[in-house]
Amino acid sequence: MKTRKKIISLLLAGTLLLSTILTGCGTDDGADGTSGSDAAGTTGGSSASAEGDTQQASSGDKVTITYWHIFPEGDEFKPVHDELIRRFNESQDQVYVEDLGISFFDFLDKMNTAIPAGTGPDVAFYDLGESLHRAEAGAIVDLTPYIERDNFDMTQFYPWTEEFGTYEGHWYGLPFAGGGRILVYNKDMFAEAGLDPEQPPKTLAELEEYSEKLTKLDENGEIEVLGFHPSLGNVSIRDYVLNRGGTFFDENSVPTMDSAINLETLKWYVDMTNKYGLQQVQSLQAASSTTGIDPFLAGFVAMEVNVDDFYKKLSESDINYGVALVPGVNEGENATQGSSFDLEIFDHGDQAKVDAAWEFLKFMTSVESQQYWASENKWPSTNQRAMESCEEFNDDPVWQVILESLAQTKVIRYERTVPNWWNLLVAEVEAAQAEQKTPEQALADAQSVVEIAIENNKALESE
Amino acid sequence: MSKKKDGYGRKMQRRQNIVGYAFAAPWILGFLIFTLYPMCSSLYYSFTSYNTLQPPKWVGFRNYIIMFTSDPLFWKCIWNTVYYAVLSVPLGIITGVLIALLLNQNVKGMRFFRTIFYLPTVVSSVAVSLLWMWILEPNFGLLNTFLKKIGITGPGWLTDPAWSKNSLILMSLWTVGGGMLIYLAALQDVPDSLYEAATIDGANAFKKFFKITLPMITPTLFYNLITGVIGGLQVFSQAFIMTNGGPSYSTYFYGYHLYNKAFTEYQMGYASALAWILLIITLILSLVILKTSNKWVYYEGK
Repeated sequence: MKTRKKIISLLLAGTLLLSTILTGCGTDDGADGTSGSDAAGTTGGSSASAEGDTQQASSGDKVTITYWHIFPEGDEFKPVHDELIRRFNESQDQVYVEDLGISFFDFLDKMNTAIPAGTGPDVAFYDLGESLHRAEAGAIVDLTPYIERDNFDMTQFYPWTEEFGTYEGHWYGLPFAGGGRILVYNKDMFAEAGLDPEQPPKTLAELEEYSEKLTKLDENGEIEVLGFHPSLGNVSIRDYVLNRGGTFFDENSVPTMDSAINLETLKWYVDMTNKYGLQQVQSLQAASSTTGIDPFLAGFVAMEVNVDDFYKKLSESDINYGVALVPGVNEGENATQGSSFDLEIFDHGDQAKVDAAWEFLKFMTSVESQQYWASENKWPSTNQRAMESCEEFNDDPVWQVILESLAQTKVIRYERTVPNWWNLLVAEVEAAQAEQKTPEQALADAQSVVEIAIENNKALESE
Repeated sequence: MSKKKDGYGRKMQRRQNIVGYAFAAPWILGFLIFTLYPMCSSLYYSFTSYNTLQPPKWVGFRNYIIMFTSDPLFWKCIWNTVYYAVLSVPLGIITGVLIALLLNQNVKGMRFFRTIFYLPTVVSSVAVSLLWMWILEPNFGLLNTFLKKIGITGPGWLTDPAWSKNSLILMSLWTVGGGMLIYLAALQDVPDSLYEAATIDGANAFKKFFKITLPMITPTLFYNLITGVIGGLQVFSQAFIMTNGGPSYSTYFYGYHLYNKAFTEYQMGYASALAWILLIITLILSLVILKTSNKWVYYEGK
């Protein structure tokens, strides 16, 4: 969130400065603009165009659908994404996709205003977990009839996508890229501290032990390098709770914020946070959020937990890094929180477009497309078959770890009665980290604010 | 004859009216479409539960009841906002007047200094926020580096809940240039004859300031107080960019709560209700300031 805002503000500030200088300089957004006529001549060999086109291509014209996604001009993932769209358009003589990349930081705002106004796209790149919100509101198309019609195999996706991505047993989005989390560590720092660079920690106890060995203080006692900090990187207490098998809600959506596992996790979390004094760590956090540089890539920390798709940044850095599964209390317990983007269809009253959109979804999430996406962008796909059948990954130890992390991933379902529970909890966790509250108090308070929020939301829903 | 004249006059009058309205039309239309209509709809939405995806549902006063009885964040954000406004508005006024006094002296290069002091006001609040994030950064930030030189270990300005609000207040003083400019204009309007008379009577600089300058610029102070209070209650962007409302809700202001409800939780109805309560609070405070103004605001020529 913090980096997100910082980037927004950086962009805004940059725009402010540049707008006066650069007026008149147009940007070239024609990268994806393979023209319709060009694509018309080629016949597609892909599965998408081969099966089940129900719409009648009206008088030979292609059905044009609009597609909004989060890869604007200049985005590092855009070229691969563009190529997928280009391949689809080339393979099609019925459908043509017109895409629009919107910066991730503006995307939600734009969608939030476009959907109620009915001016949104036919297909959007969205968040699978939150598709439940839109599904419940009837804003997106139920894909289950299409899945059944085409015998589209949903088991090609990781089972956990179904766990948090379906609403009343129905799919409303097809999973796209996503992932879990991994531990990244600095091999040079390991060697320097007398640790074996090929033996990353396997348990939390080892993690702590290594962290102490890796932490370097300068002559004033200030931290130069921190071995490990539980909230630096891209990780939250959610991951550690899931790792220990904890939950935040039971299967009936009753909050379990103050469960024994959560308390145990929070105590560990606060302990780890405050090992070297809160202020030292706060200042490290401030440094990384001010500069926007990841603390691991900046050499501030020797180990950190980050998302699977951090691989791209790692591979571009000059740090001698290694990756491992996120350690748990016991060896072999490596679960972290997984998430997935998805593609969703909006129905604007034109059945031909909805049908066309479905063909596009099938193409984009297919094994072939997803393998291309993952291997080129170093951003895992949530298509398990694509991930596990990609030969390229076999010789790559990083991909091997990522594959394992994906297999162990756990998810948190969208809670419709209190969608913002995480914001409520995180404030209490921060209070515990700052030692304003005991972990017991913090979780008890979290439990009660979440309960109050549920009651309030229910009161607003009832007649 | 006179009747005819009257008729002609009325026609003329009507024509003038039409021309007048035509010229005012852009503003009137803008007001109706972009101010009045949204205001009325937000009043309507404040009595509904509305998530933008489904049609709004009438819930009566429930949003308001929840706000006052069972929204713990509501009182927290009120407290934060009041704390911010109560400290930043008077501090801003005092600093603004002091700088205006300095810039009212006849010193060489005064135009340059006036520009320099006004400049931060022109910079967008986003850019200012980013800049201050660097200044307040605890390790290598300008402020703590300076404090370290004189032997003080500076706090985590934005990361420590005890300091975060004060840091934002401190930062708000950076943009007093706007108010300063108005004070400066007011100061130059104070007739020299008053100072001359006071000098002849043997008044010192302090006496002159408190007995002449200050009373003479009270209308300006009054204006800046009202706009300052309104602006202070709407504080948002700094917290949004620099602190995320944290740590542990210490910079979670009213505007932030409203934003969160509307754009992260999609409770447009509740957010509209929050907006109306803020409007009412602002109105009450403005009225109080207005009512007390005749006790301390001096209008020349009255």
